Amino acid sequence: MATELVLATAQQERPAPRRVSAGVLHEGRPMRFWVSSAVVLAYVLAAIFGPLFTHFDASLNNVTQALIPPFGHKGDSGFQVLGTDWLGRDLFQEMLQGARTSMLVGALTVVTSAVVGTVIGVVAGVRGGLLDGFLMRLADVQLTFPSIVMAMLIVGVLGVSVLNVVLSLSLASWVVFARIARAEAVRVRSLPFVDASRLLGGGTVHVMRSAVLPACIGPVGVYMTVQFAYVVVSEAALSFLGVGVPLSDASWGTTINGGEAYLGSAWWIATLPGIALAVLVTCISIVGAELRRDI
Amino acid sequence: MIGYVLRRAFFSIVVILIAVSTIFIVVRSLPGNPAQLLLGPDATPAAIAKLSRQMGLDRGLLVQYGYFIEDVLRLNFGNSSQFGEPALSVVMARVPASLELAGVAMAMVLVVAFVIGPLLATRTGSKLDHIVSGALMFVQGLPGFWVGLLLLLFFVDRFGLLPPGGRSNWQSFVMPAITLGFPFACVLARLTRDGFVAVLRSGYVRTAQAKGISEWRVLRKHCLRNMLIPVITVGGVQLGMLFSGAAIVETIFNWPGIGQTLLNGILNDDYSIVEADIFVFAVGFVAVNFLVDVLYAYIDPRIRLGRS
Amino acid sequence: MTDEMVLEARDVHLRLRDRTKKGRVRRGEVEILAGVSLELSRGETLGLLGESGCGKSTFARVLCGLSPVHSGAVRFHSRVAGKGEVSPPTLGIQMVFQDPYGSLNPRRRVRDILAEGWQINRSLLAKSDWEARLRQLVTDVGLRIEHLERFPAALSGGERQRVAIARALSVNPEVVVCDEAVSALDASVKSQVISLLEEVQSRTGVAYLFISHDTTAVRQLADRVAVMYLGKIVETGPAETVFASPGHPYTHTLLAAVPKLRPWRGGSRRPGMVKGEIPSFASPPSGCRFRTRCFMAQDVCAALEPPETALSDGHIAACHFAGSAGLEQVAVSIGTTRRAR
Repeated sequence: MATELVLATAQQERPAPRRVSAGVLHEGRPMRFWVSSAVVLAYVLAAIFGPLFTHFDASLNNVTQALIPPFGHKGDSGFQVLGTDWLGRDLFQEMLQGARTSMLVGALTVVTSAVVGTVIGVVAGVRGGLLDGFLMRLADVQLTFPSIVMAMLIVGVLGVSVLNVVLSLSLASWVVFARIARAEAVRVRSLPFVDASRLLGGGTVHVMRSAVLPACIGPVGVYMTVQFAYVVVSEAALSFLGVGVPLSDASWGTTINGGEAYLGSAWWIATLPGIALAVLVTCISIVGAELRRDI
Repeated sequence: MIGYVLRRAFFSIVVILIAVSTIFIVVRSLPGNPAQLLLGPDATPAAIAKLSRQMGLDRGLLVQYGYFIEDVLRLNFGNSSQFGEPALSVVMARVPASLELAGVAMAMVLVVAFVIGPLLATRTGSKLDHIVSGALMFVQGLPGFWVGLLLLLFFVDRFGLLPPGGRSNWQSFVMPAITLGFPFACVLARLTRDGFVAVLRSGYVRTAQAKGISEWRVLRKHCLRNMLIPVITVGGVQLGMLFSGAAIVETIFNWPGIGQTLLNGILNDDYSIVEADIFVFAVGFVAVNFLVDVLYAYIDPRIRLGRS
Repeated sequence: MTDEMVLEARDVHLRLRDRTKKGRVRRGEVEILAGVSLELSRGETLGLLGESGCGKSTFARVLCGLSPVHSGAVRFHSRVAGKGEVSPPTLGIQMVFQDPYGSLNPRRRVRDILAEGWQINRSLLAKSDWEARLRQLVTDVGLRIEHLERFPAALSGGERQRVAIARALSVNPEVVVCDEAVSALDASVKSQVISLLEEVQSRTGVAYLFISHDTTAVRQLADRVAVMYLGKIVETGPAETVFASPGHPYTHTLLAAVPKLRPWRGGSRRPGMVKGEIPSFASPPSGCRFRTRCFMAQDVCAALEPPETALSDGHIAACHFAGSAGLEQVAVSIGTTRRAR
């Protein structure tokens, strides 16, 4: 419906920057692409390996260490790069842990919704007919309802947990993948080599596997990056509201939630995770926009 | 056209039905007696028994669903366990506040977009264009709730310019409206910029210029018409985000609207409010989408004249 | 060349839903094939001539089992598909398509493309024999062994069609339908591929249904020819006979449109014999479908559908004036028939 146009228009680039060179696939991408990719990679590595080296104790309750500003220290607490939060926990460690939580949710959600969405889209596109109509109507209905509200409802009622967040955000995300996959399926199914496959005895499943799915991987893969950013932000928002991951898990959202009360006195608790989030999202957007040029 | 309108209307009703049914399923899937859940922890056994009968809890699931739908059609959502009043009236009382905020936000968005858009369009490729477009893209991706907190930090805490929350004087509208609308403003600004650029480059302009008309008049006359379709399209989808964003913004700024009500209902296990609120959300959302679709169809003759 | 009939279509009708206009046959439906009958014998090449859009490709799909039949029947050996059925695609009939760029899976190497038939039907060929057979296939179509490792993007149009032919041959079919298989190729490549087809046929004894709008190509390959117009066959016969003395006005116009190699040899030609545009399937002309563009058209043509007139052994034309002197006169004047004696 209107979504495609939004996606298309929202992706309209500002005037094209000068490229390094005009070339084949991996050459000639603008500088910002490489910088952004490096940043995203850094985040991922930090999320995976960071908490292994620093040990974040969520249950720490060290009030004497509480609310130390970045680069400051109190007593013999040692050097806190980013300060501490209201319970005396090192904010840097907390953010690393939060990175892990947020990215975990992001990855799980994106993979789940991509797989489910692609399967649905491929089936709808290849089969056509009533099944296609039904599935696409379902997608429309899903799309019509604002995802955050729906997620709030599901998580709020079913309970805060990583699983419920993944579930509700996956529900919100599958539609886009289904549409992409369906479009590819429809495009590919009328190509001559699919007919040739059929003549060689290939059934519908074979066609889906050998012709349609490989064609979907590209567009779906690229869109996964965009969705990842969206999911990470959504999770943060939900956690911030209290209907995301449990407050005992450190997520950027929960940290910001906690920091809200100390906005005046200890501004860093609420703002720093937000900056981290904003930077990550921006970099992912840049990478995604660049990859989308290929399709 | 009539066929299209009817189809969209039917579709809208289906969506509301599904939204409402989702609540039904969700509430029923919780452990415990649904009647008790709805009435809250302070309910008397007698009241619980009475409501249980009314809801048909002793009968089959299908019967319960029937009663449920009947209640919805009669706009009866029970009493809120938080407020002790009919849930729907509690929610409806909050609707005007949300609408006001949305309205102000939209106005701001339109102003910003239609000022920045043409401005950039007439200076395509310039350094200003690069910088502002890049900034727009960056700002668009920022998490809304965080921006809201930043605004609070600066305007309330550091500089004490604006009231900290709640709906009071005109100043209290500023921060919530900005927080609610800024992503949309960015998208729309870029959209109008691209649209204006496209028109400026097209034949219209050269002809008009040849006739001696100023660039600005050309923009006004031709662009506006062509811009309408994409704007409405984008607007339609962004509207959804507006509704979602309302929950977040209202919570941060303590705005007495339906978003905050929904969240509080969820956090306080007040399921009557949750049901009523989701219903209002669904109806409002679907109604707006429907209007947008109809408007869209009206403007785009391709849809109007025959879509098989 | 034996007379054993391998593939037969009898009075095939095919209707499609027409979304843009209302058809005359039934509301919303358009008849693409209006009673097509054809026979193909083992090892022979039947050329199917006609303009673009006359229904040749649709017919090919029906023969292969890719589209269902609305009435009539398609018979391949003992398998018959009748009304409403899609004869299950059978390995015995394979197809080479027009578009070299769409007929190969861009994400597979040539070796995987060629082995697909064996992958799907494991009993065809033991896995241990694949490698040898692949090499043989590739060299048989004039490519080199290293082509096996390439992706379609690295192949030229001619090379891709060779791969397509090899793929068709990989399952040892009895019939290969060439649907405009050379039409998208450059002239020099075209003749190479045609030669390849000839060579393959003499080696394997496979039968071809060679569909084309290019009379020169059909002339080279075909033993027999059928001419199609707007969903109907208007003439059939041995290739030599049909090309030397066509029985149907439409065939004349097709041949007249061919640039003469030695124009100084005489016979004044009037190019551009065809009047007007091809009518739409939705509302075909009454009586003879070709009458709106025919230089011989008379009143009878609008009133009655022309009967199939036998002109000589195996040569049939569906025209009221088939074999008449009037037709022959016009034909001579446009140079498509040499004046007898």
